Amino acid sequence: MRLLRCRLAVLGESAVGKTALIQMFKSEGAHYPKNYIMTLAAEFHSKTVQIREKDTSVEFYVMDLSGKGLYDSLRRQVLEGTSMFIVVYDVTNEESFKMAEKWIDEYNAVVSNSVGGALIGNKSDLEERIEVKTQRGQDLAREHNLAFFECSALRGTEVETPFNWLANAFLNAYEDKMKLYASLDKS
Amino acid sequence: MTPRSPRGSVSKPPRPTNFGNVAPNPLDKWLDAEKEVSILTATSNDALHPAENVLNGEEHTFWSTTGGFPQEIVLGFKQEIRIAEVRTVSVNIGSLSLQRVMPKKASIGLPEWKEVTVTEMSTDGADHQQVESHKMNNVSTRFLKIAITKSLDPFAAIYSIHVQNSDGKWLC
Ligand SMILES: Nc1nc2c(ncn2[C@@H]2O[C@H](COP(=O)(O)OP(=O)(O)OP(=O)(O)O)[C@@H](O)[C@H]2O)c(=O)[nH]1
Ligand SMILES: [Mg+2]
Repeated sequence: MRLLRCRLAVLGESAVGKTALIQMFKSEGAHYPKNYIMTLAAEFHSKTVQIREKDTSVEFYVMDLSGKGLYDSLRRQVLEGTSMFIVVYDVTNEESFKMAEKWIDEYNAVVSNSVGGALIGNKSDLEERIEVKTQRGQDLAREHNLAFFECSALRGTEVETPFNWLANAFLNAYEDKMKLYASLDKS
Repeated sequence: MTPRSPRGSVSKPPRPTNFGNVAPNPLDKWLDAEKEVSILTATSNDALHPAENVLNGEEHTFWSTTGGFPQEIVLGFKQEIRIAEVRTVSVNIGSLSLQRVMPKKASIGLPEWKEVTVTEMSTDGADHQQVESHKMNNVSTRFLKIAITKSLDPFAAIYSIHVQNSDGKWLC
């Protein structure tokens, strides 16, 4: 059994459902925070994903960051230690999608050697109020070389999928590096 | 840092193990009594790239770190030694801190680590082997901690660690 550790930043506008998504992932669907409590600055959670066929556990240290721009210097500090990221937008909120690109750019400006990330459109349960079509999310993700997912933290649909994808991407990056390191010679 | 007085100075009696009247170090129980140098602990443990690889003399095997920093590896010596120099061969380390254990009087508690030297590595050497020499000013210790405090990649690795004592002998 091998244990990898991944620090993961979760970014996006306020009230898009970052905290709800993380809580549902962490509690395996048991805990959905119904009432909105704005995250102050940052909260930390850890949760392990098993990749059985590779006999590997990926322990995520999830940094749940406030969507409010009040804490820029702290956010930068937190981002520096991470190697993967998620940007969340709300599919019923056009503005949150427009701002998603800003969050992607901010992350990439701070962390130049990240292992990758995912773009997530949340609140897919509110079908009648959708403002951002799936295709647009996919296009933005492709443009920035990110994986794309739509989910509903409320219903618990597709909540684990992005984390499983990230865990596998992290393991792949690790294994690629190990192969490279085994082939290096003293320069 | 000023060098310590040379070994065998008349003012001090020979140093017994366990720092004489000082309480035994909790790290002692991990020492492999047969070996001159052994690995006591490491913060990452991938069975395919174990910490022991840094002592096996092979060029292409390494201890891999498996995500997150700082990452630490601790070496123990059969007896207290004075360290003149440490050499490391690594990849994607940004900053390396070398620390020793201070002898202490308290009978309980964790060992107190003290930094001897820090090496900042060049940031344009990503994905290339880094060969570094760290001057240790003949400090004495039974334990050496090597901590990767910054990295150039989410996964850094160490191929080998070589330790030279104050008599010029390479112990590993
Ligand atoms: N309908 C629906 N509501 C959701 C969903 N996810 C979250 N919400 C609601 O949206 C509101 C905001 O959710 P949070 O998770 O607190 O939002 P946040 O992104 O963490 O916001 P900040 O902490 O301010 O950055 C809460 O009232 C949630 O109950 C979802 O999938 N569907
Ligand atoms: Mg929140």
